[in-house]
Amino acid sequence: MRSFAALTRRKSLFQSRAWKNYLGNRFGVLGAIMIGALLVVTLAAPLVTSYEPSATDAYNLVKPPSGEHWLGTDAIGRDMWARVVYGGRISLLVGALGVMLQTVIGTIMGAISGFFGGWVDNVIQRLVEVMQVFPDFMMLLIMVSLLGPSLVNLFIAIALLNWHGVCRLIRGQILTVREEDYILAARSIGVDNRRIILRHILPNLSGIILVSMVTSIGGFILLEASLSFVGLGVQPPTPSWGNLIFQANNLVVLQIRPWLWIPPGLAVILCVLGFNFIGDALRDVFDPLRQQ
Amino acid sequence: MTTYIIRRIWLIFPILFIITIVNFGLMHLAPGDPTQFMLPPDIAFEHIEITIDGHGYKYEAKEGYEDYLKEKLGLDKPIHVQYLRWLWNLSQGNFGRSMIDQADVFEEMVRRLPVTLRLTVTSLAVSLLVGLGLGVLSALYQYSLFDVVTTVISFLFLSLPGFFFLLLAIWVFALKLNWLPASGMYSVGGDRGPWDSLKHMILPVTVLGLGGSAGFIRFARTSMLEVMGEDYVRTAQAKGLPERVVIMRHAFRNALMPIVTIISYRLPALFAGSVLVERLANWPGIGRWVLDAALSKDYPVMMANVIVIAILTLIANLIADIAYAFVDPRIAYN
Repeated sequence: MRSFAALTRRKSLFQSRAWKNYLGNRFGVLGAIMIGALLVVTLAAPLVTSYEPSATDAYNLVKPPSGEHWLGTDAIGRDMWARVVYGGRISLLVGALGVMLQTVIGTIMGAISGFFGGWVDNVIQRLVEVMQVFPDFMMLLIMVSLLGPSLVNLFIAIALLNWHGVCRLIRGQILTVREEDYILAARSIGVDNRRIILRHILPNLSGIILVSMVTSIGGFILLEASLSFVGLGVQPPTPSWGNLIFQANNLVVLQIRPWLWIPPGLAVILCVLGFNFIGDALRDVFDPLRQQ
Repeated sequence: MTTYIIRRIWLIFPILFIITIVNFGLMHLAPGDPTQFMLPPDIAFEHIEITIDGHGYKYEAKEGYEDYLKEKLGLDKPIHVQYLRWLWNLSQGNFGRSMIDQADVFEEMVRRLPVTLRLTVTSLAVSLLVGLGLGVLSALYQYSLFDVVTTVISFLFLSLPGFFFLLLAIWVFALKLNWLPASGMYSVGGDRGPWDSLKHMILPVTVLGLGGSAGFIRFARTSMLEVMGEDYVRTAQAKGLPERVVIMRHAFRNALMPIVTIISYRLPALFAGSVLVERLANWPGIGRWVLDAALSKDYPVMMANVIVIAILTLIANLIADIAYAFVDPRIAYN
């Protein structure tokens, strides 16, 4: 007979069924490889390029790709490969921080809304409905032109305009979870509300929260790129994928210097696609009803 | 049903209230005092001093000019009075004037809205055609190669930044191959005929339409798969109806019922998506206007557009929900 300790010992992640299910999803594995590669390249930026992203070189202006400059150089002689790699750091950072902030706001609002119900729930839900009818990119333009374009304002604005999705998700889950017997059991031994939410309800929702975070990152990176593309996001000389594509605003660049704007665009697609693949695979893992 | 409709209509009032509060609040957050940038066209000349020197005209406000303006704009009143006054103006179609060119915002919007709708409505039609077509087919041929390819395509459309997609399309089809015009609504000096207009629409509509189809592909696929497992579909198959009839009559119709609601909830995204596409395609609609306003900090223009789109969406959602209740009466009893 197996000992009690053996039964209660947690299996390591790599032995779990969730892990096996994830590996069974081709797109999920592909996405993980894509994002893994992107993370390694951007984090190890000084190792994959010997150029500084803002170092200019007056002897090498607008050179097409070559062995020396893999993706060529821009109008003031900066190495494009270095700028794309370092720009990836900024884009990923905005995505990650924005999603975290959005998840914190959304989870708190959703938990309050679902757990307490009543007029609090009513007010929060009306607010969520209002957020849904606003055109998000236009609101983002307004917020950024109010706050002024900067990295911090960018992810605050994106998070403030997107928390409602998480809020609805968490609220819906809590409405079902709070009727479960184990919540009743916890309540009957005198556990207070705060502890029930933090220790009993939220840990059960961690999978769903993770899925929503991963699927949102792609959208955030797209928003950052779009905003930087019109000059209201990350400000040059700091490179970000969006403001690198911005160079294509010039008809000459668009027509005869594709090496300046196509690589950052492909990087955005690769990154967003990777996160969407991972998010979809994780959803299958955490939502058994969706498994086929 | 009547109670449902009344309850549903009643629900939009608190939302309308919050929308106006949010807008009014953002207006007040705008940096700078409105008196500094608002010069009503009918301002009395006794409050300005005009001097002429070597550099040209010079306008200078006299003593008491700010108080005069504040009184004229109602800024000396308490905040709730200002809010009510603003609300009254809105209901009269008075959205103020652009801070850049003093144009009446409402008139300009009436002029630009149809221009944007021409783009968004056609691209929505493309999205629906492509999305529902691919989605339903991939559900019918589940796990086939076609299904896998469609899944990859839907992921790709979901992940493509629209502006980059359009840049690529302009680069290839307009600049390299010279098949289509790169931007604008009509050719310069052209006859402004339907063919000319259509040629200009192809690139932006394709980009917006394909980008928007990703959601419809996934919706149609899952919804169709779900319905194909229902008892009434099995009954229809069991009584020997041809597969075509089962799919078209029994499955397809029921699977696509929620589409009206989905479209109405996608309206804000459609308008938001038009911003960058209109800018790149040089399309003189709402989207480019809002972007120009954001770049030049023209708050009345931005606010007016956002509030009008929000209210239009609210009304569309209302109509869609009521229509859906008629199609599927179960909704009204929940």
